[in-house]
Amino acid sequence: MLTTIEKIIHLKKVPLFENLTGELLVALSNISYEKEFKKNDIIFKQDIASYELYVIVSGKVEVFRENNAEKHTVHTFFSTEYFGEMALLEDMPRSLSAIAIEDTLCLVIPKEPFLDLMNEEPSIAIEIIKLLGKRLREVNLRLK
Amino acid sequence: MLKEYSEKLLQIYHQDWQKIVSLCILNFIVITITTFGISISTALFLKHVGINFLPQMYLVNGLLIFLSTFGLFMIANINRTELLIKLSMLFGITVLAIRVFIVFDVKFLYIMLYVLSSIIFWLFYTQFWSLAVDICNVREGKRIFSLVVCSGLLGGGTAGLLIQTLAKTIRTDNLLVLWSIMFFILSYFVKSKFSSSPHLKTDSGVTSQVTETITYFKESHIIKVLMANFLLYAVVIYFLDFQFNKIVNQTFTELDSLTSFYGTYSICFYTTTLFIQLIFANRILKYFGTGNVIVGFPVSLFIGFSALVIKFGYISALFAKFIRDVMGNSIIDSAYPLLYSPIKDKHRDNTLAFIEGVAIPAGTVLAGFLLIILKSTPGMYLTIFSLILSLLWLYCSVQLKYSYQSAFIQNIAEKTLPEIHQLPEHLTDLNKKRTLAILYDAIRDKNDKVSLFAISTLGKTKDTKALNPLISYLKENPPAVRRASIIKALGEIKETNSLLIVSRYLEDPESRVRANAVESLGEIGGSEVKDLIKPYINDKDSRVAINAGMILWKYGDKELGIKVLRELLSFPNEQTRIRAIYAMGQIDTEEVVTPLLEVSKEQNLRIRLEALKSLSKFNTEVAILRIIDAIEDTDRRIRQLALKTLIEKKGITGLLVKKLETANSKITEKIIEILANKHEQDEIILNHLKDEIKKVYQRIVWVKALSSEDRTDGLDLFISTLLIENRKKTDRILKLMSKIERVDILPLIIRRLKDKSADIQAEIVEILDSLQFKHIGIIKLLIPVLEETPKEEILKIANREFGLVQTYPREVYKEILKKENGEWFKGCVLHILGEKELDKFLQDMINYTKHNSEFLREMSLEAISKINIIRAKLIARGMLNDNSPQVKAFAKSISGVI
Repeated sequence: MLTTIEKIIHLKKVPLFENLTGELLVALSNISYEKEFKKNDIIFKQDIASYELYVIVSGKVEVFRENNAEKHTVHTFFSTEYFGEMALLEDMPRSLSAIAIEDTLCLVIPKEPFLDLMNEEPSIAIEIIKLLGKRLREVNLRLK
Repeated sequence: MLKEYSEKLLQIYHQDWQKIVSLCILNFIVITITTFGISISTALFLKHVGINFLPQMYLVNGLLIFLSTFGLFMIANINRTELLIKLSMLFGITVLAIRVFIVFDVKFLYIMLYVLSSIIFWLFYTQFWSLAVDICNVREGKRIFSLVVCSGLLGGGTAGLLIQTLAKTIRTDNLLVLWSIMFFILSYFVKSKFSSSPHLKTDSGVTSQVTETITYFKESHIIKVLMANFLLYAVVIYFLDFQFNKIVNQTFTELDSLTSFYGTYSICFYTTTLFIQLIFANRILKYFGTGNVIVGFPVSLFIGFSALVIKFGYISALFAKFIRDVMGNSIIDSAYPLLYSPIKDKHRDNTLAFIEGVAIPAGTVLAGFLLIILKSTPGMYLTIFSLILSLLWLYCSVQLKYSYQSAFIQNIAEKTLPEIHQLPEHLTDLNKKRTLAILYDAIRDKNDKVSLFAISTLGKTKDTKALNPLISYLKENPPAVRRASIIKALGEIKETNSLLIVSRYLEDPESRVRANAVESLGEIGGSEVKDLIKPYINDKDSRVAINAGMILWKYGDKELGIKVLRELLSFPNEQTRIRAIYAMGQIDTEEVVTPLLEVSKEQNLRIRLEALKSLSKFNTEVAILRIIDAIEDTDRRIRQLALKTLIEKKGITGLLVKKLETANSKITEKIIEILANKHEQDEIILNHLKDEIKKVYQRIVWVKALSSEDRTDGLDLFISTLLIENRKKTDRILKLMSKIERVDILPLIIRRLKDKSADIQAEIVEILDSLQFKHIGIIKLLIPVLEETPKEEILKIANREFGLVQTYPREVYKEILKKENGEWFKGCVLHILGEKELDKFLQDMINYTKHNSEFLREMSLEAISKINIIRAKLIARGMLNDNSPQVKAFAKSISGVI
């Protein structure tokens, strides 16, 4: 089990949270909780609703899309990276599935308190907007 | 008209009708079926099997319900309405089959019928209320459920009437056929009305669901209290049931007479209950709240048992049963499903099933056992025992009341960023090896932000155990920014042993390292510090020189220290001046207040900000007055700094109150906020809040009036602005209330109000309604605003509390233009007047062309140009020399002057 300072240090390493003050990092560590996934555990499934952001403490996670029993890997995430942020911005089921490729420890941040944090610290919202912009650009390039 | 009258009488809202109608019809059918069945099967059982076997039946019922609960878990992913449809068909066929075979007079069939009627009652009751709680949120439930219960009571009364009328003519056995037909009717109705009802699809398997539920049950206090409550409830109810049936069985010796009596009893108690339910239940629930109403149930049983103790017999037994049935089927039935509202959505069904399927059956089984043991006990002693049980139940109900409230609060708290003002250094225990190891690694992290954060945290702990990791990293010659940060951290720890190490960095090539070394030496202290630092007042870098001046002042060389700082303050370089200002804030002398005051009025934002930061360290009246003035600064950061400083300063209330006398509305709001945070002058704050709530209601009255107008873009914008401003004001009122009341939940509620979820809004209102506040009046005024209260209701409150009356759009425009209202509102109104070409207001518009505000001058000219272009041109010519470039340009365009 991670101590508060471990959580805080780990969250500080995540680019999304690197500009947060110590006080906000403490608040963020208080709302997040640890979840362990064994290798090949499904973290969340496509088309099923769940409302958390995941920050990888250690391990590796792959997000993929399933179409007619075919699996298409979209991205692989490593330590200090985060995924699942779309669920925090919209009330829709997951568009992708996520699976732990190796034993993985995540910090899980639920939706409502995270949105509260975005209200307190708009830089987080700006970072997410930048990320969405980047993904949109990548999709446009692929379409071209 | 009739609908509106009904809504008023029944205390419901317009949007409730659809749900009321479908749930009422369903409950009518369900209760008709269950009452019908229980009456017939009980009569058949008592006459064909015997009263002495009733306790055994309680045991069997309890066990079967217990097993059925787990059966329900196994099929949890089945849609609830599908389940109701299938079960209704199954029961209908079963009852019909029993009717066929009953001619053989086999005792087992009567036992099976009795047990079946109990299972049916339990199953339909739990499934119906699960469906109802899914469809309605907690506030809708509070309004609607009492009416739904009424329809059930009508169903019960109808069942009673049917039994009373038909029992002696077509005989009790044949009533079973009628009973089976009712099941088929239910099946059809559910299929046609409820097929699209919400069903929470879970992805997890049965085992993980059960595990998750059990874990939740273990952690949830309200569930434990609910279980204890309903276990005792079942024991007490079955004790009463046994005694009542025993006495009644002795009184009515024939089967059909007994069945007829049950029918008559049902009519009487359902009719009485319906009357109470229609007229009083909603009001009682609203007035007393769910928690208090639940406590009333064991009280009613206590009264009933007391009557039995006083006079044991048919009349008192009837009275006890009657009072239990009336209470239980009216007010309690309305409040009961609300008890499950604070439970998490995905566990609610299971909780209801668990209470109905485990806790109550366990109580039933326990009652069965106890009654088997106490069967031969004289009735009076059994009643006294029941009385004691009801007292125990009363105690549990009181616990449930408090648990209910806490559960809502916990729900909100779990979903919300907490208002914790802790700093990482307060949570860092360097006695733990693991913590030290983590920070040891973190200061070496390749990410600068992580490293600097870890270094800073170590320094702020002021713990000497932080020295080793910091010094060992310093010896590895890290980059300059990290070196500087470590030196600063060593100064914060103030350990004299690090004096030598820090002094080595006085000659560091990097100026920021040297500057921090100087400052840290000053923090650490020692007799040699002054001599070490003195040469550095001439350092080529102003940062180092300033720090040296500051430290020298602290070590007694005040004249030299001040001289250095004053000189550097007048440097042309902004950065140097900022450092000098910072240093002045670190020295405790009023000599620097005057220069700081001067620079705090400069146009340069950074200088002004730093000056105010430094001034905030002083407690002189001039410094505080300057900070009070800074509340009106054009820069948000300065305003925030001023607010924060004034909240923290002690002994300044008099100055703040004096400022209130001359402040405009914006400044008044800020000062009130400061006073609230200081927990001072509650009287002033409360008066202000009452004014604010009045404004909220005033705006609602305006919106109601303006909504009757033909819509224009300007009007739409204005109405939406009024609503947004009202929401902001409501949040502000709650924030200030949280300071006065010192209730932690209120700030969390304000955060959750941002959610668009109707369920969360309902939970919030329920919490506000049930908490005890010192100034409850203000909260009660806010609740109708937060809820979806119909506008007519709000207008009544506005009139009753504030004397506000329904008005017309033109009166609204007049009021906004004439009285003190925000610039934006006036501008909107001027724009609307132009859109609607209301020449009645022409003179007001002309007056506004001379207003201080450039926005209002422009809006008024625009409005005039829409009503009377010639007049507008003339006025515009007079505005060609306006101070505002915007207004000037607009005036030019209107006047036609090139």
